Amino acid sequence: MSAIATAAVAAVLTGLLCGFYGTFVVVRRMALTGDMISHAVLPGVVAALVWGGTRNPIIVLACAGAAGLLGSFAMRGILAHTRLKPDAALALVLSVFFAIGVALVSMFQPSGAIAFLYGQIAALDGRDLAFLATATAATFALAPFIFRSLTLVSFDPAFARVLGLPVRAIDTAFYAALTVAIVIAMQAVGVVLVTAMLVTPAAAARFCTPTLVRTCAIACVTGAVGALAGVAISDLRTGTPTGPLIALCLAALFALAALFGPHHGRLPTRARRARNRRRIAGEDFLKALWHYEHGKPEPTAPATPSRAVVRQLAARGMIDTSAPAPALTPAGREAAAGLVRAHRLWETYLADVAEYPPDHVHEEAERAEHWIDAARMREIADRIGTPSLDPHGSPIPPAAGQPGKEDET
Amino acid sequence: MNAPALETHNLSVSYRGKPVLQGVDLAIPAGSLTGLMGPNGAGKSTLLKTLIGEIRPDSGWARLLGEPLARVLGRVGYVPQRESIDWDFPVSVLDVALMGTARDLGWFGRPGRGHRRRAMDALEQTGMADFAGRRIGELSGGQQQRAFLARALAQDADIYLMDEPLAGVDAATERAIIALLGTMRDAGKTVVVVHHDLRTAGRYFDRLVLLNLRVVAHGPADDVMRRELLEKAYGGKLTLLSEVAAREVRGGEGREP
Amino acid sequence: MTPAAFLSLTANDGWLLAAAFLTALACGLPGAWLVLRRMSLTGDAISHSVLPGIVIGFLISGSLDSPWLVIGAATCGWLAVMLIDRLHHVGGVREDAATGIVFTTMFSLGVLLMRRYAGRVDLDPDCVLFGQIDTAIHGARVTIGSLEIPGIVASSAFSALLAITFAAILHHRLLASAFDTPHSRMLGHAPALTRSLLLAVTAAVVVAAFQAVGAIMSVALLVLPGATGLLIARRMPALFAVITVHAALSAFLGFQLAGLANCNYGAAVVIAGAGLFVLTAVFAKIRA
Repeated sequence: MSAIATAAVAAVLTGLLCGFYGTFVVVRRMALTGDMISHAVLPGVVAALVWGGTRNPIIVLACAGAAGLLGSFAMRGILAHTRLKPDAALALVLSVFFAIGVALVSMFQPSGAIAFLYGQIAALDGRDLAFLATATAATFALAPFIFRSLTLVSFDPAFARVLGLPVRAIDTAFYAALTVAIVIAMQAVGVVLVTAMLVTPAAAARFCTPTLVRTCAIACVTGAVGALAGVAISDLRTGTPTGPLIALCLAALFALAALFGPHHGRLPTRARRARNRRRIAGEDFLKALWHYEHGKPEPTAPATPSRAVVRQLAARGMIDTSAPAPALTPAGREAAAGLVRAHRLWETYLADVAEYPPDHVHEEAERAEHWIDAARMREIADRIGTPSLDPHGSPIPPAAGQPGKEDET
Repeated sequence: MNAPALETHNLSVSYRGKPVLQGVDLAIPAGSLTGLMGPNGAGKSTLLKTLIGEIRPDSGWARLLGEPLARVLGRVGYVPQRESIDWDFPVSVLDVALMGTARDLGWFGRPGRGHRRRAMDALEQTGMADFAGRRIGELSGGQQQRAFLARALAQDADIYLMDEPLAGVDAATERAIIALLGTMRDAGKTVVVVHHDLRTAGRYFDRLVLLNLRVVAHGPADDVMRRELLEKAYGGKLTLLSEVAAREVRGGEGREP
Repeated sequence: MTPAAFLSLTANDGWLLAAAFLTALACGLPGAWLVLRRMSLTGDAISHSVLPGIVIGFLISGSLDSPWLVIGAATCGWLAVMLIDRLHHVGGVREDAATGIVFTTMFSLGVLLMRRYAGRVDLDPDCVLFGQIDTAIHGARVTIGSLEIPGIVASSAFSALLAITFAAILHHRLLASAFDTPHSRMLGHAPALTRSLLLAVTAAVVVAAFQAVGAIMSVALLVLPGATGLLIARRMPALFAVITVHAALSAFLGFQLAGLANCNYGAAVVIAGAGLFVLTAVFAKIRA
């Protein structure tokens, strides 16, 4: 296989692997714990290279795992025996273990250390690739079986324990697998940027979907695409290091997700807010027309709706704009009556049940009426015993399709 | 009747798409000692945090001493909840009291002898003078509260907002603190205290506010300590009210209602 | 006999010790406030995020001792913290994830800038991870009066001076805002501004630390002295005394360690500092 093909395959596999574990790293709020592990394993990696001589992935991994374990012991020791807070403990372990790694590198100058420090995806050989493929295949083969318990343990360890899940064992296994993923990712992007491989795809995925399974799937794809793009760009412009390019490609994907992601993405959120505002303006206009038809202007003057709002109402068959002055259609009249009903029911509820001062209820209901659907209206009516007059003495229109008293005004 | 020292109008506050306070109207007269009561999660602390500008309300306004907060900074004293303080901080009781006097210090100023004397006076008043050199982490819960009361006294504010100053203190300290709050009130200060013990509320405070998402009752302590009002405040949430408010809040934020 | 001769140090060794001590002190002072405010990981983010600022400052000025580096670094440090805040508060991204995304992105930008302009930047890429305190000591010298001192000593002295001035004159603002931010704001103290100043000073001192020990070990210089101080100090003056002693001892013991093991001096300073931390922790435990 050519070097480029090797790098491309390695990038995709690393992206998939990191996307999977990164999802849990992000939901467990341990992004910086991941950062800590990536720095803490360095002395182990260097020691393996020095004493192992070769870059045997198994030996490297074993030593890295031992160092990572030492790091988490150090962390636990600091938290148990000093007054320091977790952030300081994390920063301490991260930087001191890294310093030990640097000292070892400067003492023994082992070949291959550069790959872990800066990431050299092009330097991976067939053996590395085989190992990477095995790790990824094992992860995804086991994924259907471990996903549910891992999710439970991540979100609610206490509940997981009640269900009889071996919480500690699952946690330990997760840390071990995470360490493997981190050591692999280090060779692709370098010690500093492992965090980007783990965290950025998963954080991007969270803007795309609320469910964890899909978040995980999207994170895997994002990781693979970002890593592949980084490799492709670095290959086009030879000499540029791959790690930073991968991190920047992932950051670009994250920015896209944060802007356009359907789940709390910036632009969809804005659009939805604007849509809600337009809907409210339209509903206010319908209500104003209803009050006009009933010969009683609203206590507060209605906002003049924009042309877009009027056009939308006309398109939905709520108003008739053929005459110079817009008028309600039967459908519009029914919708408006529903709104007035919601408004007056809510006023009654606020005054009678929540005991709001009477001068307060109109303002509240003016806002709430747009958020009360038919089911809630029934609920409110049940709660307040279906009165026919609101606190100001105005009649409450009956529910649609329900015979009621004719409006007297 | 004095002008209100604390006034809110239609104050609504939400947190993460959940309404915490809805349309809170309050007018607390100057020179009164008021207890803020309500079940857990009723929004008591949130109300204080909104008053001191820590949380921005969704709608409505609050005024302290007749002005918006930004114009009366320094005249408002605040005693935080115990949990929000890092008790491992390397400061002594005197250091804490001195922080209260820092109101008139400029950017580069440092407390002088006058500040030190004011801080020591405040420690005398709270019975903490003997502990001036202690690190705050080495104090008992009651002593810690007294140290923070000393900081408040040293500030010489006009209105004090205190988040559960009686939490985790022994009976003797509780009496001492209440006596001190009474003295402050008699000196013309307005004191608003978040409190959770229903049995003592009627005795400790002139006025009570019963809070549960909205103001359930507000007035002289004897009028408020009535069974039906308490039942209303503590008898569970009005689910419909919070549901509709939550839909409103989320719709405004552009989330799925 | 001068003290340096007594310890059989050459003049260069003396400069090396001075540079290490001054850098550790410069970082330790704002770092202690970061630790107290539970913002150690913000220090981590800043130490990585200043890289593009340093490179741009270098490209503008063509010198490693230029104030442009400090300005560039402070700007990038501030930008990073602002981005993290916005991602967290507006974007709803969790704070730890936001930190991870922002600092890796800024760091990557810095590395790429460095490679892109490799011809014009005689910044050694290894400097980013290892620092270059060993080699920089032999580098360009600046003349102050009749004294000719290595550039790295001059820049670390400058950042130490900045840190000391900052910590001394803003002590009470820093204390009030770190201890109880709402109370500090109620006194009209503008704690948000104090926090921004702290972050800017952190970014500025990290410039010298970055050249000396690289991005990651800068974090150790920021956090170690303050963390050690907090193990035993009962009040703020004692904390700052411990920080000073810790910086000096780390520099000296690190020097001995580097000589013994023949390793990178920056790493040796950090390891010595960590040793002091452990010893102090044990001492505090026994005393308690």
